Amino acid sequence: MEDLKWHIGWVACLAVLLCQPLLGCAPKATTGAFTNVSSMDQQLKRGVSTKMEVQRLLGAPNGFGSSVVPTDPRPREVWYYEDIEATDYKSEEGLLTMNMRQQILLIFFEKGVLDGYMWTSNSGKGEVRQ
Amino acid sequence: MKDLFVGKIGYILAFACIGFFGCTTVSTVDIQQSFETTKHRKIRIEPCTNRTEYQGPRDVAGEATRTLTEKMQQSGLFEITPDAQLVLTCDIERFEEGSAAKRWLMPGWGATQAEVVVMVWEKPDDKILATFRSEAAVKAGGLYTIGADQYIFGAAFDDVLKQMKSWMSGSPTEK
Repeated sequence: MEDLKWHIGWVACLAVLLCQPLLGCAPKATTGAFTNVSSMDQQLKRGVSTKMEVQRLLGAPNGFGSSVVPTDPRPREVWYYEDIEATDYKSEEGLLTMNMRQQILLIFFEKGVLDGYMWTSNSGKGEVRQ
Repeated sequence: MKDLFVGKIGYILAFACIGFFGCTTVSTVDIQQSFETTKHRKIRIEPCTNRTEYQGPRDVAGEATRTLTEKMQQSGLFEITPDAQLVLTCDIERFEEGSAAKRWLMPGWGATQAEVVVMVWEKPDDKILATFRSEAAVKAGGLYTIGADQYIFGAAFDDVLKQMKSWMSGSPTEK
């Protein structure tokens, strides 16, 4: 009988401890802090800014590549940035819902200097997400 | 009484087993150019940039810069000088201090993580030679993992330097 009480006590303690992290914290999965694109227009200059200046402002890209646009055959180097974040995911009655935010940024270089960028995000302008 | 003792030992062992997990690293390497051994023996290290959402009191960028500089000096791969043509830039993309107590309670909770990216540039043309990315993490473990937040940058940069050494020797990068 003493053994049984001891075991039940331990199991209860373990259950409380294991459940603790599940309380009060919003689930979040992210690739990390998003690349800050807010000051690109002010700090980078087309035809002037170097790769190192772009790296200083935006950080290291997630990928490197090159492109040739059919109407403009000059080759360009491309830096690729991608950030994804999923928050508040929950499953109810077999349906999984979540808030997902994704941002993709392509930076184009011609002869080693900035030639342009393409940026897309599914985040609304007035929305605050942390 | 003996059963009670055996039961206690069983629980203690079960908890202790949770602690037998260490630091893991995951790395990716992007080689733009092969390394010319005879061309570069000196390097300049630029201060690391903190690109994380970390809001705590620690100077994460300073800690990472110091750690990278020390690791590079210890490795003997390059002589560090301010006028070198080879330049290392360093970005901290993720830093979580984590908690050993949380890890002890539940593996995966309270993980200590650091992700760093080191790019190797050649001056004066700002040519990128290679990019090394490493994520070090202590995601599970007992109270013996206290202080993981102090050595997590070291683990990440050790991994970066291991990959850099492979690149410099011309051998395929280790995974």
